[in-house]
Amino acid sequence: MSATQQKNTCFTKNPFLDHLGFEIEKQDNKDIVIKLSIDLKHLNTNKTLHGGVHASMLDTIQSLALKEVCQSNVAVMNLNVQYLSAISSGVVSARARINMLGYKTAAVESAIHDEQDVLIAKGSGIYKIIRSSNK
Amino acid sequence: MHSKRNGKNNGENGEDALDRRVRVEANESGASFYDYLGFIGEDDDSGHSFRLELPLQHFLLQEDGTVHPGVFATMLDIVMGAAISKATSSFAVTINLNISYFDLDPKQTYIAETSILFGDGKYVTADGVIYDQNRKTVAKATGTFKTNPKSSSISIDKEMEAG
Repeated sequence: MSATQQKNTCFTKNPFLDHLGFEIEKQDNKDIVIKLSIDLKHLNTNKTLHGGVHASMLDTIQSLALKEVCQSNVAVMNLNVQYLSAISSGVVSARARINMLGYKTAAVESAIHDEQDVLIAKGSGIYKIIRSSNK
Repeated sequence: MHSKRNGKNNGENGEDALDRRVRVEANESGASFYDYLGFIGEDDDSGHSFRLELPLQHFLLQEDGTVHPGVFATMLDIVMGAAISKATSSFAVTINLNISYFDLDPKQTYIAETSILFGDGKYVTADGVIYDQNRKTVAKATGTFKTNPKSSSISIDKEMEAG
């Protein structure tokens, strides 16, 4: 874990992330990590983390990682989520990696791990980069 | 005929009127997170389908004013899982979800509809579509779910084999 972490200002501006309780941290190496402390409100009736929470977390980390690199707004076109392990409590963390960065589109992948580094879900997405010169 | 309910009312007055299969589906449509985002579910008595409604609220938005893609992912996961749960009388665990987004601009109301494409043993695939109040498609998804149907319950496999 990085010695100095700062909360992303996006967290306070984004009502949905605030509503879900995502904590966004930027580490020393400039990697962005989203953390979520799992609460009852995040669970389905099977008492496991709801699939919509994984998808929200993966899309958020992918778009934040992309925005950080291209310094432009981005819009998701396609999101694929693989659900690999069920989880009911604790803290989960999401990280992303940019696989392809073009002028107008990008391909990003991401993963969610638990505190024991068990892989919980994997995501991949195609994003449109909304550059100011594209309007 | 549709019977409408909000997840928050499950277990109270309206539940006695629901038959067992609908109760299973209602219970397993993702109650906690389902309630937290404000979904309203509708049963379609005509078959293995489920309809979900979502009035737009401020907390569903991002900083640029668009709807967070996770809202649509959640809606599609719920609607497909609920339809499969209803058909198999079993909790549907999501294995894979693939979503295409067409329009993230905020609309007054969203409606999600689903249909089951294929069931083979424990694995069932469904697709789901989200429309705005003018029936314009805003997102579409395909999902694969794992179920654990009981031998005594109606399963999609048996219906398919019979068909």
